[in-house]
Amino acid sequence: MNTIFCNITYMVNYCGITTDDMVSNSGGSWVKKNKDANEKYNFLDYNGKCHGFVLNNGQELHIERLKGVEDSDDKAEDITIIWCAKKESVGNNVIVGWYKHATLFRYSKENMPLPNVGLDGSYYMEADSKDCYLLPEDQRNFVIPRAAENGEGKGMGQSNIWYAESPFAQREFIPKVLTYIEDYPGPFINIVYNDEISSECAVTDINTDEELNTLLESGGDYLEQERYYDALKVFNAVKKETNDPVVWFNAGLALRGLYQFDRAIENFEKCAALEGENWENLNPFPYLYSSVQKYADAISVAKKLLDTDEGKEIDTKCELYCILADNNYYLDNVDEAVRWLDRVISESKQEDLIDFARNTKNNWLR
Amino acid sequence: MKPVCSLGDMIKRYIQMRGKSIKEVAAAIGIPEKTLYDAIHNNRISADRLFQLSVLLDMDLNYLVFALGYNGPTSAFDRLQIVRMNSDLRKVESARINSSIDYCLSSELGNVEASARELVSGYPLYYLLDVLIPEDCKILTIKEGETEKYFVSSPRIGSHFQGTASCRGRLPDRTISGMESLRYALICRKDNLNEYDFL
Repeated sequence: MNTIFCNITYMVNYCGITTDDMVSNSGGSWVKKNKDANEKYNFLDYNGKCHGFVLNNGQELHIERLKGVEDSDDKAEDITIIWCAKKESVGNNVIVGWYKHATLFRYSKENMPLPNVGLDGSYYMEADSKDCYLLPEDQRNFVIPRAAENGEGKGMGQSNIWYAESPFAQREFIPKVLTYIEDYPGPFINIVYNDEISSECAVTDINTDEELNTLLESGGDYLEQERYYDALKVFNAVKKETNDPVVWFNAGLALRGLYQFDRAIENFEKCAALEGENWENLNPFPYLYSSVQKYADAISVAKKLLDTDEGKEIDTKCELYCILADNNYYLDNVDEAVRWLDRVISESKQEDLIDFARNTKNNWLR
Repeated sequence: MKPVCSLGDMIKRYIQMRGKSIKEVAAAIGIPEKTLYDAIHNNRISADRLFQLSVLLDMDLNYLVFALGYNGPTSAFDRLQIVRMNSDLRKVESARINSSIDYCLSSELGNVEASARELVSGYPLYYLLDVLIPEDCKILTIKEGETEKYFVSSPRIGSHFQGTASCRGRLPDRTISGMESLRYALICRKDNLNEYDFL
């Protein structure tokens, strides 16, 4: 198995920039200037995967430097990625976490952020979230040497990516690192939304209607306060007591807020099955289906929404046309995609949307 | 959206903001002071009276539609851009909100998360954002089921993503959620930072 080292800016959780977790000043000039870093989501469980980014000089990662990878390959699989960052209190680069069995892409890939679903960002690495391990801050003490101090091949150089091809790295350093990560007993601080975590309940028993109503109210408050995991635990508990479709819908909202799209879809589907398909409970589907590449399903739901009374309002209708255009395009049905864009161009009253649809049409037909 | 307050309360705020008394306003529109006082305090204001007052007090009726919760339906596809309050009202309201923030931060020992929760239990989130977020940012809302979610977009935040037809013209390329924006605003207040550092 190949092992590489990637140097990123220092953060605590790598689940996005929050008031509790800003990027450090050690991340380079772009990070300092923008107070932002693409690696901010490196340990976010994004529908079962973690997406890793490292700032790279140039357009591509030279994955052909890894054993068994050809110049023509676009990706390398089963890679161990060791994430390092400069910890101010230590004054050195330390291991902050690692991915096992990761896929490394030659060219960066982009998440597809859709309205209210998904995140904006690019990445070079992908691994199952269960194979991603982020150390607590007090355990981030394993120093990664710098080549400038130890000699060429004996540490990270100027580049943020160290392929560790030197004999020293292969024979001495990598085995030492692999022993460290294999022997490290835990804990880890990244949250993996496995079946157990995703089905946790806020309470074990609900004995009275009053308790049920109080719980439901608190679940609603948690959703509005964007405390999605707290909300999920409440709705999980309530689901055991009642088959109210609203509870399944709200559990879907909570899971979507946690970026667990497949599980969110299951909950929204259950709601629709219990209550019947209507405007409100079909609303979340088009963007969710797109985000998990179920483009045909997104098309099917968008057409159902177009048939509702609410779907006939002009701006809503044009948004649904756009969804139909995009998803047909993703399925390589370019003619059909353009046909929906033409409807946007002829029916929309929004000049900027019409211009955008015209440009998109030209790009798609090019 | 939850109303910020009643129409009567909003008129009271405008009267204070314009440095007038109920007596002066009543005289200006030619009704007895008690009649105006009762109308405001019992929240019984006729349309005619509202228009009279809006001219006299330079009230922004478009803003009132949102502040009083009459914004109309929203959904995942009907995202609504909230009309921001004008700057003179913001000035008055920020004094009120900043004093609540200071109280929360002090009673929660500087804990931003706990203070944010305390604040949203007392004020609608969009109103807090409207008061605290820079004027050139947009505040948007969507409603799904019974849940309203807010987003803040700033002209200072860009996106790497080129966009698709579905993204265009609706939610801006990149937004910060309402609660997170509120936390940023609290940090700015707590640490005396410029709000533009984040937004």
